[in-house]
Amino acid sequence: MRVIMNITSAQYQKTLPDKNENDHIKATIDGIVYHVPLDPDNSHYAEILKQVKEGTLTIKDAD
Amino acid sequence: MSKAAELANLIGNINAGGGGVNRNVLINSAMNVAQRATSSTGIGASSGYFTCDRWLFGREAGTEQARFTMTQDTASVGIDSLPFQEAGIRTALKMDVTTAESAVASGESSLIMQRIEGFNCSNLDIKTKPITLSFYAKSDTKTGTMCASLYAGSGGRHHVKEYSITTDWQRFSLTFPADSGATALARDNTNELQVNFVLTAGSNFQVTADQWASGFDTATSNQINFADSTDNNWYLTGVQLEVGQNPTEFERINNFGEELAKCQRYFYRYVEGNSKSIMTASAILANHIQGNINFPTTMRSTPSLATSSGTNYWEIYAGGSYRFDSLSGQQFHTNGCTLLKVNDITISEGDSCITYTSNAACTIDLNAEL
Repeated sequence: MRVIMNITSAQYQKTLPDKNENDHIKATIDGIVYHVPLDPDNSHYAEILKQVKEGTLTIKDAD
Repeated sequence: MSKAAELANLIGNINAGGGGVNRNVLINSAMNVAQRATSSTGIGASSGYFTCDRWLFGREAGTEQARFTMTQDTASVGIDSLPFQEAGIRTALKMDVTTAESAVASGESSLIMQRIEGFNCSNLDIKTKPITLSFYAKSDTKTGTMCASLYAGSGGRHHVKEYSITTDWQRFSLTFPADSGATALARDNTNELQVNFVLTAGSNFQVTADQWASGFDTATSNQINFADSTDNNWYLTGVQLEVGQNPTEFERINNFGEELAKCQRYFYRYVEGNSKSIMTASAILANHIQGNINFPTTMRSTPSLATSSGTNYWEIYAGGSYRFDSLSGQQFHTNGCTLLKVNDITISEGDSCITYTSNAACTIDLNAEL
């Protein structure tokens, strides 16, 4: 079964202090704020990608 | 089971490629480890890991009304009662129904699962060898037919078996035959094999027992609705999954540290509580500190970080003490990560500081669960 997560926000975060590249996604998942690495084997990131593909989630660009 | 019968079973499994030490591919099978919490209420609103490590609560539809309190229970496991004394078991997973669900809709289901990483189960040649699942379970009031199942991720195949729960502890043994239609389990870090214990299952998940088939199905039509009353409590412990057609004695867990380390590959609580050391950090810019932490074992995947937040939860000392509300991270890998705080602190570039927690509710968690 797919563990469906309630993801209410997602935004890329740059690596500090240089801000040259996206480091991870800061996401609120089932009410908990996670810093989610961009690793397809990470179950949070995999679910974020699924919900983006399904059109139910948008990842905001980094500030 | 007599010692002679136990020996015969073990020899039978060795002949089938199993047996020996570390024959149980499940982790935290006696519910010893509970890094997150020993009890959690309101379970059912979402899927997730809440108490005993590695044991996942799942719900399918999101419309399920049933709610549970999930507990690492000690009261149900009598310290003097056999066979728990022989098996060294002191804890059980308890699911206490706190909101009843009178009728389970077709697409609804709630279950307890353990997902097994391919690196830990690829020795189970499910195409040619049987697998045996054994466990202790009981109920406080509700009795009847319950279901347990296996789900092989690579081929998307399931096999459901029934067991009859009573108000007494019983050791159940379910043997799953080889599946000639299976895809070999991959030797990687993904969810290759899953053990499921069903609490409720709508008709969409009900199939015929005792056969391998495609799809994710977990129960038969005989599965009782275990959530139909707040009087219902379900207990599980001593779960063992091994190669072979025979159940062997539960593989006693003698070293808590080893079991904890196995769990920490998937979830690691780095710190919990007030006035706990976190790390030394350096101000790489003014009012911008970074420090590194290392994990005690290589995690399954690059983990997610969750840190608690609240007014003055965290503190640094660098010639003066500064409290702040939240802590973040970056540059994650399977053996460590960087923690950082930018602004809301006063520290000169190039200075170092110590960092520690400043509230009893502080936690830093790394999550690489399946």
